[in-house]
Amino acid sequence: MSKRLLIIFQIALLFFLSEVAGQDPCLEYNYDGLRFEAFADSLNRAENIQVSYLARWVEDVVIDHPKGTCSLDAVLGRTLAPRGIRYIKDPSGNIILTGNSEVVTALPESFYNVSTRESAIVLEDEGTQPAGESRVLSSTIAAKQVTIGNPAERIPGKRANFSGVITEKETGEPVIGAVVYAESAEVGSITDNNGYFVMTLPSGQHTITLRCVGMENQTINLNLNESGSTKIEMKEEITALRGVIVVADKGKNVSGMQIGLNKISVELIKQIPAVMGESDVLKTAILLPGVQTVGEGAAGFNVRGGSTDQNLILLNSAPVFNSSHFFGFFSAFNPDLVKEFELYKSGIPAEFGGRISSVFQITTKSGNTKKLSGSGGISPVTARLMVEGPTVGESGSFLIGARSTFSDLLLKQFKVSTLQRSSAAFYDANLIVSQSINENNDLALSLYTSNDQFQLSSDTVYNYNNLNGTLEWKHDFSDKLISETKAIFSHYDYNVNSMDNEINAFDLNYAIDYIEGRTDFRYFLSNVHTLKFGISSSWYLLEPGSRYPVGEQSLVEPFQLEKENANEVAFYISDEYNINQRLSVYGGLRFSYYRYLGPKTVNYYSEGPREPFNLISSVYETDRTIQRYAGPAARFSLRYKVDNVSSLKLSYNRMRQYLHMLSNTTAISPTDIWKLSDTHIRPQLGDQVALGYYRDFNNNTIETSAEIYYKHIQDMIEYKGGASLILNEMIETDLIDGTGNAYGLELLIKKKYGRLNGLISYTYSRTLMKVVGEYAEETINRGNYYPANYDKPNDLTAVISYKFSRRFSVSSNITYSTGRPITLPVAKYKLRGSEYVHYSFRNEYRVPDYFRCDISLNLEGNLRSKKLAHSSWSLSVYNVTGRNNVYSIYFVSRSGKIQGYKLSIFSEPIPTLTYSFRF
Amino acid sequence: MQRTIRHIILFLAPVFLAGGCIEPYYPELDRYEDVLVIDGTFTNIDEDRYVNITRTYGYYDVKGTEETGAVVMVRSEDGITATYTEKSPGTYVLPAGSMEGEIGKEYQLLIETSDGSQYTSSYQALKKPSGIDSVYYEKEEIMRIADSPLNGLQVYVDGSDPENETHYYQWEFTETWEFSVAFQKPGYDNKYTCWRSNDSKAIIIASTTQLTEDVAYRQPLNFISTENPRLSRMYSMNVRQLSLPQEAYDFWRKLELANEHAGSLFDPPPTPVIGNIENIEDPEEPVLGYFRVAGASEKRIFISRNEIPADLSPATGNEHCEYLEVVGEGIDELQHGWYLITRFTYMDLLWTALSSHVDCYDCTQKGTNIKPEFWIDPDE
Repeated sequence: MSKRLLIIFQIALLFFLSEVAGQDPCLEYNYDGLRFEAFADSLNRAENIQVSYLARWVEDVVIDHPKGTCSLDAVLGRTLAPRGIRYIKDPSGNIILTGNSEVVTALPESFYNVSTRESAIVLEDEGTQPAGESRVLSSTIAAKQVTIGNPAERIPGKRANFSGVITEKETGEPVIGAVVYAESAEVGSITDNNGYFVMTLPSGQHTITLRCVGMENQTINLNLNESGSTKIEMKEEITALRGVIVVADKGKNVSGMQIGLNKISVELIKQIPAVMGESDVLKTAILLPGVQTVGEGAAGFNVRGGSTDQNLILLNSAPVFNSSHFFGFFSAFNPDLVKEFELYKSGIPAEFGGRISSVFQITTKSGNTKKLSGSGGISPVTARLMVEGPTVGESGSFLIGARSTFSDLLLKQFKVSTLQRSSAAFYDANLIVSQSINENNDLALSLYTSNDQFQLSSDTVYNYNNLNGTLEWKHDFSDKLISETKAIFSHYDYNVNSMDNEINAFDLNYAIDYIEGRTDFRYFLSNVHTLKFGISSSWYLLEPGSRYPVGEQSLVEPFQLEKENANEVAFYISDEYNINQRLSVYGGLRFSYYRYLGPKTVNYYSEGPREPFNLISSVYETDRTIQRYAGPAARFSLRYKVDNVSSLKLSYNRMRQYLHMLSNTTAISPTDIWKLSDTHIRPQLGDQVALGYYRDFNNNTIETSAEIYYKHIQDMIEYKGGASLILNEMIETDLIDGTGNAYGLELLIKKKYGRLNGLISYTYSRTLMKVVGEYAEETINRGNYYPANYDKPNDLTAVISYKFSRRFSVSSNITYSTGRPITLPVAKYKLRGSEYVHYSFRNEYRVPDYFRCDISLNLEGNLRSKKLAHSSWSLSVYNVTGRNNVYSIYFVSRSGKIQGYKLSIFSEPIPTLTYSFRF
Repeated sequence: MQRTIRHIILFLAPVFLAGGCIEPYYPELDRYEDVLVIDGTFTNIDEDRYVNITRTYGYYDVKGTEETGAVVMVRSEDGITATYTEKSPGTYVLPAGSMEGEIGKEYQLLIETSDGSQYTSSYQALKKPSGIDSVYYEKEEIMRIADSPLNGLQVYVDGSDPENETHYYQWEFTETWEFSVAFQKPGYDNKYTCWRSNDSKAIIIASTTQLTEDVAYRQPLNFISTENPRLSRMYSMNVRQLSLPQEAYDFWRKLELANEHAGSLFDPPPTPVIGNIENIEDPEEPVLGYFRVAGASEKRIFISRNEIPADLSPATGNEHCEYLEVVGEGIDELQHGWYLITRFTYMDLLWTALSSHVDCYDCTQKGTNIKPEFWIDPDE
């Protein structure tokens, strides 16, 4: 199919080109005596030739069109030459007046040659594009003229920097990952996250091609006289409905430096069938190789054998402490506002630190800088709305979005009074503002808040909140040196209010605040070196817990754990060095210096197990610095291009973590607390080596990769049996150190274009833990290795989408994994006539294997480009096969007898209908 | 707290998200661990004191083997010892009057099993008993998923220690109820009304360390459903309140955690719960159970049928009893599956009264007809 189309395009193009090559069209009518404006208008309508000009040049110009000639050149020449106005023709034959500019005089011969050659290249490239209409083609060929500097001052042969920012024409958002390529000089560059690129070229004429997936290709005729920058707009491909599912540069799989990076755009996130119709960033991440979870609906995820708190989840650079709603059933991010996410599993760049397993970076969209628009939708759980538009003067944009449940209504539908007396609600909201101050300074603000409230038929109310924000100032010192300065804060708190028993009625609070200031520099040292360096200072302020009586009768003793404070200063430097076409290396070093700050009471224990009964003294340390930890963390990656379509990559990284989530339960719960490294709790340390082989097929449309990794984690936090983590003044007595070893193989096939697209991934991985202390209390499994709770060796995922037409598509998602490990009783025994179970080795058994298949049918509204709102419907069925996947297995002693139970959350297919709109 | 969240997942999520389900689970186990279990309690109350020594048993077994022929002794900090005698296999008793449980003293359990292994508990202080302020009940409804609510009485206890020294409480109770059968069979007069007793099974503990006063308020002890006949005539409950050392409280708390849903996603991974007894020569050997030394106080309450709220209609336990009167001689055919209550003649005809079940005329099938000493007759 696409092959046939391709041939048609080629024929059309050849025909088209031959017409252009016919030099000078013969005019059908005589235009003598017309004013120039009228002439231009007529040419456009009658001859289909566009004429571009500045009105002031042609104010009094009247066309001189002698009878008997039909040559356009002759007419233009006779009319314009006396006025000293020059013009050029672009390859499509359109006329561009250039005033009396010198520029064009240098052009004629070489210009057309270059353009024609370029057109031919475009033709080849077009063939690989999924879409293509002659309209797209023609605009591809239309070249823009860009002149930098005064041509008079050009020194031939001197090199100059050409830099710029590429934005999307419709929305004004930066175009990331666009390839900017100067054919003649064979120099290329790729735009960064801000759409910025820089390259060094010899001065003179260049044909620059711009390419980016999802954008129309564009050609620029650059007349580079001295260093300078420009702003370029790219148009979104009209064929966007056909969708590009995975945003990545063509060939980046192979030629990019990154190993263990997954970048997923919102298009894919939205395409995946979602439970209850809530498209979910985190649930999408779980489909990627190397990412696992203890159960569907459980909050948090595990990356390559790391625990859930070892993922640095960033929303526009600000950390998020609780990433889910409703105990993990939904993620805390509104899918309408998410642009994409990046998950670094290995080869983590030096600018990141603080968590040892992964960096999960969520980027929100920035507002539309051209016009007011919005989108929204309704699913059975939530309603959501987003509005965006330009700020005054169109030099910036805003975006505001919110999502809220009405599940409370849903709960009331059930004829069970327990549920009717329960309530569950959540909301989240974002505000994103970006403002360009001038050419070299941009400001951006991102604010985010989320809230969950839950009450279960009793008088206990849970409430938890996220609030975070980033203020970013981007400053370009020069074409080569760019800085980004950020002020970041993040807050998380929870509150439990229990009125069940008036004497014991209490209010429990926990809060963590994080404040960070950082400056990051990027220095484009040369075509082959990109330096990044920066410094950050982070403050951690914890209120580890307080409890107050509620009501007059309550006898609860007010209690507050001392606040905890710490400061972490980190600086880093890294260089990406493209040694040659084949070999690139990245080296980075991050140094962090952490101080646990006083004044604060510190517990000291005698020799022997760290237990409350070994407490010697609790000393109120007045020192500012109670405990220091510092150390370097090296980051290294290497890419070797075997050939144009395959490469080998290698990476090593060390990570340090000073903030830990204490969660003794299998899945994380909102009442888990974060704890700082202190006198007793050492920072967690992770080392990872990864090796990958990448290969693209079929003109880079099919990407494959195979990665292996080995990770070693030191000082991972484990818990003694029956550990009590809330409001514990001697919390260190319940914690022990563990060692983790993880290794695995990850295979991934991705097809990004075409009617049929998607990804298939398979992972084989193991995660083993060892906890061995000097004393029996500090040892788990008698000091032997045991599988971690999330050790699921085999994991196969397929996400496949097929577009039947531009309006109708079907997506399916299939997941299989080994069941997670569990501890089963090895015996029963009786005490006082009641049966109890005895457990021995941890995680010796497994729950049955997990399998699930989901399907969604997506119907887009009509394709007219001008209409009030664009709407779409999505019907999804979660767990089509209705398999009873085991969520948990537990044993209860009831009336003195032990009974085992297994719980499945979704044991039937769950259909959901979701409506979304855009305006 | 964790528990509440777990309940949310267990009860709410399946219903809320529809299509969820909880099913009985029968694990496939390839291993069984044989461990010694020692279970003993020593209080200040002078009564028969028991120590049970058994071994663990497989998941699908009913009971473990008893450890017979062991030497069991209790020793006070003053060095006074008393030896238990084996009353039945694995059950060792120290008869009332053998040894005084003195408040403030420390006690230790010493055991030598028949194979010569010696076990000892750590010394446990006998804390002062605390006061039971009140044992009371309220009518309550318990919600059930996809079923009508369960009605009944919820019994609560209030305990306290004005001297603020107890902090860790545990409760146990023995409930006893009087019931009667449906039919009076001649010659079975003493089998019309019986009594039945039941010991509490659940672990009921509370800590008051977070309170300004040492008050354990409104601790739920027992829910008496109207679906069984416990409230049909007269009900009594003897509540024993134990003052535990912190270590003992921690043990029972961990045991409770490990046996209530342990293994669900919102619970800590299950771990062995090891008590205060160890093998002298091999401290690594796991020993289950606990030698509990505690100050104890008791309180008994009675609830008679006419005290309970009028809108509660307790079951009699005789709902299954059918009564059949047959006239004439054709009885032999009917007798299969029916029990004869009586025969009599009326208007020169032979009548036979039959009952569907033995337990409809013989209460000793379900209880004892020996009235407990403490029993108060309900006002008829």
